[in-house]
Amino acid sequence: MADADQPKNLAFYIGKIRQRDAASWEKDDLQDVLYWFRQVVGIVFGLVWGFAGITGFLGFMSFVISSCMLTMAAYKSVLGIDEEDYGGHADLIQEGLPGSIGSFLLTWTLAYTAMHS
Amino acid sequence: MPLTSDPFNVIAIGLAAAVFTEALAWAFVYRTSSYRRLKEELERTCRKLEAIKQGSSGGVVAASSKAALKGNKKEKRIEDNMKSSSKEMSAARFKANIFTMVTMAVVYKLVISKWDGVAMGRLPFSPPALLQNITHRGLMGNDATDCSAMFVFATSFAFFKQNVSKALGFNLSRAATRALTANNPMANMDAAAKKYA
Repeated sequence: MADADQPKNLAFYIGKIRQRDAASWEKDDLQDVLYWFRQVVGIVFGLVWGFAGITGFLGFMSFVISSCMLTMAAYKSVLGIDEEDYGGHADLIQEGLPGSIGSFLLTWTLAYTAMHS
Repeated sequence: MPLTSDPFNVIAIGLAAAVFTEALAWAFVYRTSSYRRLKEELERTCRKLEAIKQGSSGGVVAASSKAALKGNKKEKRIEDNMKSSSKEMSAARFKANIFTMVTMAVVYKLVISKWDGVAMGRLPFSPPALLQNITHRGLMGNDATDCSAMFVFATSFAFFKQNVSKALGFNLSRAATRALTANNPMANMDAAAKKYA
């Protein structure tokens, strides 16, 4: 059954992820998975950065870089994606980044307040 | 300052406001048969256009100039359909965005009036002057690392609105969003102004 005919629900995405590099991805589906992955990463990293007491602009930039590297690791190693098939790294790495920055800032602030104020 | 329940109350209000906004948009815009028809038409046209462009960039050479001309006419016709659909879609989504603006303005006033002068937390960074308009709104003193209710509300509302909309499938596909951006009347006005300047 072609991807376009299947309902795009959680079971669909989990099924594809479990196939790892055996799965073939439509670009939109791949970007959706990376988007949601990025939102979770933003919240988790915010908590970690806050509890660890990481501060300042360098702290923020380290989140951006770590988030991008983790996203790349996820689609290269876990999903076995060849970025050349999807127009290069740019579209995949930046997917979901703006949204995750907001959630990172908020959770970073609250975790930092809880531990260090 | 210790972490209190205030920021979590503001986050809960941000979530409720985002869900309420999307519910209104769904009830008055997304649910209507005209919007659904328009969305389907725009998505279909964008898919056709992308397929044609991929086919032509893949090095497929037309058998004759007549076939190439016919192909170009078809592409032009589909592009014109897409421009027309995307203009209608922009108008429809603007209507939905009005709910967002009104809800955000009303709830923001409530949040600011309830938590005026109350610091929600300590920022782990010193925000630039432009961002301090949000992070230090309504707070006394000069400590730039004090975090206001406005910052908590704005970030949580934006986060929940974006993700609730995406989870419920209210967003357009990326191709349709690109078409909307490319055919944005404001962008076209700007380009026209530059041309005649």
